[in-house]
Amino acid sequence: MKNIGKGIYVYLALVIFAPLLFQDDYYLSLLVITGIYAIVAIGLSIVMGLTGQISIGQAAFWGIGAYTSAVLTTKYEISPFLALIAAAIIPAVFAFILARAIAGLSGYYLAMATLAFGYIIQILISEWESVTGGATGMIGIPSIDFFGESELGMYYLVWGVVTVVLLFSLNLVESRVGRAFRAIHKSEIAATSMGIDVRKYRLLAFVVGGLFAGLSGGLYAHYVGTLDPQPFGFHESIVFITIVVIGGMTNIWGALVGTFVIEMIRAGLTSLSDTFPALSGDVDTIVYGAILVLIIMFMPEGLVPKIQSMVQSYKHRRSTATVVVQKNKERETAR
Amino acid sequence: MTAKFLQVDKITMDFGGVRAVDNVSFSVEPGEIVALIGPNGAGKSTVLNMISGTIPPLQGEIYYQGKPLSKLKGHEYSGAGISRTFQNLQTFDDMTVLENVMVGLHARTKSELFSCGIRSLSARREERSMREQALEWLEFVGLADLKDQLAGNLAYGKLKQMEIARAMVAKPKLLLLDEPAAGLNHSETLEMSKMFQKIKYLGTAILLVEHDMDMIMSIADRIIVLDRGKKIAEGTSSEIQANPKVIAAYIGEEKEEEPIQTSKKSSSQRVKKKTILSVKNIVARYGPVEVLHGIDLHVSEGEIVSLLGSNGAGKTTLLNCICGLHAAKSGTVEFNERDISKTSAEKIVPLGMAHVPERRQIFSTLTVEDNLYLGASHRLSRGSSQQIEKEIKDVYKLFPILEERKNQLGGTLSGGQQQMLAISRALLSRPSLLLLDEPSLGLAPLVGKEILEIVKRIRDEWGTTVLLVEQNARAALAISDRAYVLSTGKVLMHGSAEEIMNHPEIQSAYLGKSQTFVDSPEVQSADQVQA
Repeated sequence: MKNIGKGIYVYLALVIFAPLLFQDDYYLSLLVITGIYAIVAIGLSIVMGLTGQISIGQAAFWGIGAYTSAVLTTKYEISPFLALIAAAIIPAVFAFILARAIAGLSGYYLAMATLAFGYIIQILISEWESVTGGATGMIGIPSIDFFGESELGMYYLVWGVVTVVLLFSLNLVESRVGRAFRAIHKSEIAATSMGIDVRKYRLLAFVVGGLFAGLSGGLYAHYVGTLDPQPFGFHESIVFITIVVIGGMTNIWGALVGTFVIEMIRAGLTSLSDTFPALSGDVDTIVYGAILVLIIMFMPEGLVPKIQSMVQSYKHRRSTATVVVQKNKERETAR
Repeated sequence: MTAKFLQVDKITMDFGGVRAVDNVSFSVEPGEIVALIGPNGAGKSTVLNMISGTIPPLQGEIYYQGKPLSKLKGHEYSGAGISRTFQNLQTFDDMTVLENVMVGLHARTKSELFSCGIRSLSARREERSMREQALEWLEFVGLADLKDQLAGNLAYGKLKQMEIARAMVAKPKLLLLDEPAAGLNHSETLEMSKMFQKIKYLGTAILLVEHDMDMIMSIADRIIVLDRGKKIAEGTSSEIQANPKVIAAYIGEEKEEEPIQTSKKSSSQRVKKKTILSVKNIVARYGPVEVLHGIDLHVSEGEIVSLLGSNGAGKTTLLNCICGLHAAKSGTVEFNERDISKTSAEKIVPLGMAHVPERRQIFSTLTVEDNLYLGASHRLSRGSSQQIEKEIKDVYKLFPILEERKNQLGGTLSGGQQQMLAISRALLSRPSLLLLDEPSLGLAPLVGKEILEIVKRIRDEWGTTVLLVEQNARAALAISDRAYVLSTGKVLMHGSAEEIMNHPEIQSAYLGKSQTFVDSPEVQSADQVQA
């Protein structure tokens, strides 16, 4: 674990002990939702941040995962845990097919293709009434019994998944496959000449991103208990992109930090809208848009890399300062 | 007969109707250093790109160890033992130096996504071995102490070395190098030459495209010369330097000397006129690479002045600095006694300076006439359209073919016609100074000559001053009054066209120092490495 850094211990401590601080169910539910979003964001940061492939359709994978798990548990009464596995695999298969279909696209074309994919899936969900319940959606999706059907159980389940996904991704970054992803991001021609099969690795990145999003969607379905097509469209895809960009695309931790920032803003807006009714509705979109613009203008690398480089330069300044102090002392003693 | 190590068999490539590579064949033996040289636009990089699989040849085949390379996919080259470096660095800036080199081992390693994600035993073992091999090669190129630096923080010369390590870590049998010495200073180039000698003695064959003739003459076992897509010579460095065809390719045919007499007359008729362009101590860089090291130059009204020199000498950069497309690091450009060093390119055009960029840059989806109107755009709002129409007619007199094709799309013209269109478009901004960048590049010799003749007519009839960058030195000197010869970012010499033409050093400016250099102590040190 030495290549992951000390951050992981801080993270683990926070995850384990956070429920002691926030025993209120409202705060716990915020943390559960944050975890669910973080799983998608980590997957997207592999696709976008590492491999440099934009995906404006990530909410579609999320939706496929959610409906897979929901349909399997409500209509076929399969155990939610098995359904979760299907919720991960089926979106991954969709991601595989999509990535095969759009292999060779990049830049604007890739953005348009993934955008279109997102719309198609959302329309499919709302029109396929016999299975998905159409626009009215599904109710009565069983919740997961993880050491009791409680908010706390769900919290530990979700954050357990986040931790696994996070460790897997952090390992991946510093490995042969992760370097192949990063190489493709920087220069496809150089990557090819190093023997990296660009199509294969772009496809792998999409599959991993789809798998994580689907898993998260399954958890979401069981946690919320009802589904309708509305959250699985363009708006949520943009939220995921915003999360990844704010946190810092090239850093897996960035996805986690970005999710916290966005969820805090969302919760803040919701509670403020009680006193200021003008802040309800789609105001969050405006706020996210503004944040996105500001980040791209003033901190294009994102929060986590920015903080890292600030810490680096602080350490550097301190070490050079001590060197100077030492030199001055040496000079004085020499006199 | 046993199969050759690398056999290039009659490969051909077209770019936009122009034959970039024409029926080129040659071979490389194991452990040999072979250099591919030729003037700008000769097709060297295209040949290298075809061998490295970036573009498939239109015709012909390349055999590697007896098997056709067209059977390999791009990412399979590395595993087959072919590595390459790039002309414009292709480094992974957000990775450390060590990680960059480790990427080079991709084809020699196997860990897949899942075992990487869970850090399985085999993945960890493989990672360790990659790290060790990468370190070995970093030590070889002398970057071991920088291994944990981000590649983006490294100086240009170091990145070039890193690219060598990244290519060599896969233990290739054939190393393809695209201008390894470009942008390096003298000592870095020598360092690089030594490295290639060592690589050769490790048994890796090297095929390189390079402009630094001194380097090539000292390290290459064999040199292949291309000109306008055709192979014109092959041999050792001394054979190549003495080959009249090669000399002609680089500095033009001897027999074209005749028109010089006429231009001399016209220049002597001209009395000394005021200076229209004055460039003082221009220094320019691309990122960390300084390409112009203080250039002084002046052009008087009514003159045709040539800027000569081999590829990479800095001619185009200098032109771009003058017309405001590239910001010079320091130095001044005065145009009609006005400092324009800080003026942006589109504001310089109305002052009376027009630039015809290299490779023409016409608007290929617009008609010929629309292209011409765009040339006059800076005065369309003020000037009367009748006036512009009349000027377009004048331009058509210079280039009658353009009038015939005025409703044709620019992209459908031939190379020579596109060049005429580019010059006409520049003329419509009514310049007092015309900057021409390689007007004969990629054109058949006769067409190139015709265009240069028209340039002379433009000066004689319209009184336009011309600053001309040209690869074909003889043809350019034939129409010029004066010339400057650039070499690696400095003015090597300047003088009247006649003086330059007869100067003994002009040949070495293009073809590298003569054989005496090879005996110099600097290169001997490279030889000692072999021993």
